[in-house]
Amino acid sequence: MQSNQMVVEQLLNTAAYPLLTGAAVSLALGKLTRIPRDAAVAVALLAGFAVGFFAVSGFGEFPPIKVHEWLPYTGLPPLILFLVCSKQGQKVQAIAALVVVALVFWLDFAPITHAFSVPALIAWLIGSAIAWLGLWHVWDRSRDEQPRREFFLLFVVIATGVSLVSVLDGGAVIGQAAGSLAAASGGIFLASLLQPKLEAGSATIAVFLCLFAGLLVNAYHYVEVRPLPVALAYCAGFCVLLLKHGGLREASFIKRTSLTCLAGLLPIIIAVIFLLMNAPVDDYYDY
Amino acid sequence: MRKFLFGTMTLLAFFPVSAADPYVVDNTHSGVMFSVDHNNIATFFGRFNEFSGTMNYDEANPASSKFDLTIQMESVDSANARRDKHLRSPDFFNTKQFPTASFKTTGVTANADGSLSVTGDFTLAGKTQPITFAMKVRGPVNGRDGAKVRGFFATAVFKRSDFGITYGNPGVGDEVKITASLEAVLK
Repeated sequence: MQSNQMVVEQLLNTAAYPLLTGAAVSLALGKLTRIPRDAAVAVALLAGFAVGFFAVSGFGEFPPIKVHEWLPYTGLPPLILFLVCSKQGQKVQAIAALVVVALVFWLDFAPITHAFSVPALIAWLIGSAIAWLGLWHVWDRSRDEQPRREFFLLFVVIATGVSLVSVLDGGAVIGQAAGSLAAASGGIFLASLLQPKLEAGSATIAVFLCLFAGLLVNAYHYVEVRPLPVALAYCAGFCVLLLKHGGLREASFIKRTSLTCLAGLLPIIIAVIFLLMNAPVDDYYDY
Repeated sequence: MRKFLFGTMTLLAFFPVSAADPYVVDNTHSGVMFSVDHNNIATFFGRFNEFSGTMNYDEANPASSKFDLTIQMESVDSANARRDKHLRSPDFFNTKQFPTASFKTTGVTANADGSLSVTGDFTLAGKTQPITFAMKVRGPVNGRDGAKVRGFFATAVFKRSDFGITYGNPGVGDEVKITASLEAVLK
């Protein structure tokens, strides 16, 4: 009975509350206010994620002591900077991306600088920043004039990937946080069915990718998920490239979304199989 | 000269020098264990394999004793590799960010039964809280190389939620008992 209650509680915290928050906030802001739709979605995404995160981990002190407790706050700089720069040109947005990535990765790496030599730390910071900027560039270039609802489903797939690899390799809190991100994205997708003009603009993409990056860094450096599953979860983010593919560009929403989501799922499935095959068979553990 | 001696003795009277003997923990004959309830029906035990400490013990005046212990959290050992990895993760000890836990004495009280109540600051997972160990000191005896050896057996109970470790509660109990059974050699 007690374990059933725990499962229900976990499902509510990790999935239901973020999903409802993402849907409700995006609908309310999109319908009742005059703020840009991208802003409404970005705020809803961050709010949904934060609700799930705090429901699971508790609302601790500020500033947080543990590095993963910074995760909800790492969505604020991209939200603010990209909303401010939304009407600016590509150069200004690129500078905003650099500022955001420097801030987010510094927050993620600062508590474990003692674990690296200076050259290794610099290599990690620069490497992570390049990896993030590469992904951001791909997503930002994939935006179109029309709102792309499929982005929200891709967010669900990608965040679910981080959740699975974290949980399967020993980190429930990070896995649940990634689950909250997936659920919040799912809620916004459902809201977009009612309000089709909700869009994932530059601010939404930047917020999602910052949370995604923070989760991956936590999964690799703090949970110590093995490198291959982390790399595959990261690679899933590039599935958005398919949207630019000539054949899919003009395809129906269902066909375009299904194929792109499948492309995102493929590396995640490989990661999950890798983790299951390499799990110690005689080493049962359910906490 | 007489004035100098008188002055020195006066100073010593106001600032008594501690006669505590510094004992260094001998890891090969010591253990740091923890226990916690599981599912409210059983008690689970685990241990830390790497730790160090100094026991500055003053037999004549136990209140002036100081006991310091540092535990390498990466060395957590629950006899299950997957659980050890989970215990090292941010769900529990977060050992990448907080590689050590430590105890530093702030006060010692000698009890009528000869045991000690050792209060100090315990730092775990980045948070510091006061906890009190019930400690029994045994010895001294002479070790094989002739050095004076004492045993220090200390237990304390704390709530892991006070240190921000809440994962798995209530399946994994909130109250944790830590036991340090230390053999220490006089240096």
